Amino acid sequence: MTQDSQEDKEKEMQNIIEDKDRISEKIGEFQKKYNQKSVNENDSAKSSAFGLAMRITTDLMSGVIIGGIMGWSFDKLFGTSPWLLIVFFILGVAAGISNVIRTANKMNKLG
Amino acid sequence: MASSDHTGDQHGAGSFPADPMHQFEIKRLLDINIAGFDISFTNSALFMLIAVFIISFTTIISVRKNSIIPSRMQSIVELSYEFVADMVRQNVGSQGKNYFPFIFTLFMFVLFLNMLGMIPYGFTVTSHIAVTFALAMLIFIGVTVIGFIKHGLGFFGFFVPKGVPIFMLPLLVVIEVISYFTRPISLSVRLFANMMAGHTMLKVFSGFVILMGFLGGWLPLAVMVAFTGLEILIAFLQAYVFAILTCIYLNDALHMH
Repeated sequence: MTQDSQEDKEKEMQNIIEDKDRISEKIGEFQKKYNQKSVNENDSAKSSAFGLAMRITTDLMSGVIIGGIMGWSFDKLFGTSPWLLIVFFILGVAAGISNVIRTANKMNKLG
Repeated sequence: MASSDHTGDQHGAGSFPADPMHQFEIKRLLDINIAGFDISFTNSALFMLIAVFIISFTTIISVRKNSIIPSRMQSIVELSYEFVADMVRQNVGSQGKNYFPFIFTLFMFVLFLNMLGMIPYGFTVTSHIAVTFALAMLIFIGVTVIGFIKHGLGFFGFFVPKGVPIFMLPLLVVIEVISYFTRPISLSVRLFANMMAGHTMLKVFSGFVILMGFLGGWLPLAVMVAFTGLEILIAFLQAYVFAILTCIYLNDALHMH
């Protein structure tokens, strides 16, 4: 009688341990799946070609716009129209291109 | 658009069945005038309020019952929290922890404004340059102030590139300063242009569906369904880009390259 109950208890213990192993295995599986998914999501967010094109375009364009606005307002301030506009427009183009190169370099690093 | 020509001459611009720019119109819902300033409550303000309410209620209610095995809502909130936290950690480093609430708020706000614009009859707040430029200027000024607080006058060293011959410096410093001032423009124009271009394109294609009628309208309809999916991707992506660029600017201000 007592022997039987001892065996039962051992059996139960065995079952619990097996359950635990199975559960932790499953958790590991889920974790693996979750990690994989999040990596994939990041990849797709980074490599959307349209997004990259849009980024580079606005980088270039905003340099030209800011250069033009700065030159125009300095001209208005000092009354040297149109010379500062021309100078700052060219500098703005240079800033825009340097922005583009910087962004492209960053993208290359990200891969 | 050949078919619109013979019907539309007398109507001018309104001849196209769905005016693609009509969706961006701002309507006054409540006229408010204080000391000569027009601060009327518009449909734009209404959608911003809706976004704020949705974000606040979902985040507050869904984490009220903090269970170990999360419910659907709780895991949505936890996922977005971890997503932004990872972004801040990767791009700003451990010092970025202090700025996490701001980045999280910004990301969720822009994301929900973009997504609310995808609902039919919704209004896309972020398709107005006034809104995106105000956000970008807020970030720009804030980041610059943080830079000056952290580094004092040494922050001007940010504009001096390293390893450059001395006679080239004046030119390059001016270029660096201009390129620094392009940040708010490129940040705001990117979001605004993406949202406006996408929504205009959807409206134009919906106009094609009506113009081409029952026989030919199926092709633009199919294209529209595909573009709607793309638009939802772009709505998410632009919110992500907006937040990640804020992180990059913050990193520049904190660590100066």
